[in-house]
Amino acid sequence: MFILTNKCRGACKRPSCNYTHRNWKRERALKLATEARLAALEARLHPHFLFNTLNSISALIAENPALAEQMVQRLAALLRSALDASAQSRVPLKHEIAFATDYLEIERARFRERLSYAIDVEPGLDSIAVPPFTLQPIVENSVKFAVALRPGGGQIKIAARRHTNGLLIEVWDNGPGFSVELIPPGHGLDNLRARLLVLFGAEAKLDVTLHNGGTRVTVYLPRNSSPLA
Amino acid sequence: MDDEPLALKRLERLLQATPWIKVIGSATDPAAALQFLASEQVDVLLLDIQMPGMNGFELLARLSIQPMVIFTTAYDQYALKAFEVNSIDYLLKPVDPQQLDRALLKLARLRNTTQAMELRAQLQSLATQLAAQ
Repeated sequence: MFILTNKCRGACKRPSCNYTHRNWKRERALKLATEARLAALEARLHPHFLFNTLNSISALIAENPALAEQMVQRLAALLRSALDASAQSRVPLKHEIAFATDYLEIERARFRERLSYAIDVEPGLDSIAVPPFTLQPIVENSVKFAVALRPGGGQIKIAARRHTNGLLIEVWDNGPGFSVELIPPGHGLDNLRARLLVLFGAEAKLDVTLHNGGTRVTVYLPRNSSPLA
Repeated sequence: MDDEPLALKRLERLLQATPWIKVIGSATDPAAALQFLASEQVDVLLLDIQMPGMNGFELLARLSIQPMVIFTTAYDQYALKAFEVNSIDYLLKPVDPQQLDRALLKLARLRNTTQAMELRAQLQSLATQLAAQ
């Protein structure tokens, strides 16, 4: 049994950091990554998402068969990503963007004009490596609070760009907003914050700010986190 | 009433298969549904439960006249609560056409029974009146 102090949480680079601490950090990174994958899978199997999506597909089979087929493909892609990402500690940014696109397109078929979104990725960033499920918990949070719970719906803007020595991922929505201190333990964003801390320490950051009449969640990843780039 | 337009379209399509059913209104916004139900009398309301702003039960609580309700929902966590209101049936999405038929049949039976009871009451009051003369 280890007795752990807070001193060694996150990316510990102290020479005094012994094997036990490093080992603990590796185990913790693995545990958090598994939790993130499980959360992504759970979100797809969540009855409201799954059955409402199946209901949309049922409706589209008569209305618009081509779109029905596309929805089935997108749902399959989402389920596959959630099942596949187990062994990967990093995925190319384009995978994260594709995942978010599939998810948002499914939700857009359900919510129609109540959901609008835009994705803006700076050229050349497609294959930059990021931890899996970095974008998804933020986007799901936006859909829930800015769109699903509001009769008038909402807008979501996703952007990724280079920033000083790293990568900046931003998700803006015009929802009611929240503060980073109020993220409940076990929430997707809480897991993301913990994963960033254990993977990159103080070099990575998750921020929530008020911006342009809405809420902006920003993830900053350091460049050395990107072996694929 | 369903906040998802596609869900509403599918229900309307399924209801077309039953000739004695006429859809007189539909809404994706609970507030619009309330407004409609305040001026129109409906025989049955097909109602989703989880909606933004106001859930199905809250919507019913705001109506002065309680219509018969067939709930349609993606998830059965509210089945027990549905017994507390005027519900005829509780359908899970995607709604199975046979289950919808079953619900509509229950509605028809209930209406016939109600009509028969009303007729009997009228007859009885007529008989009482005649006996008095």
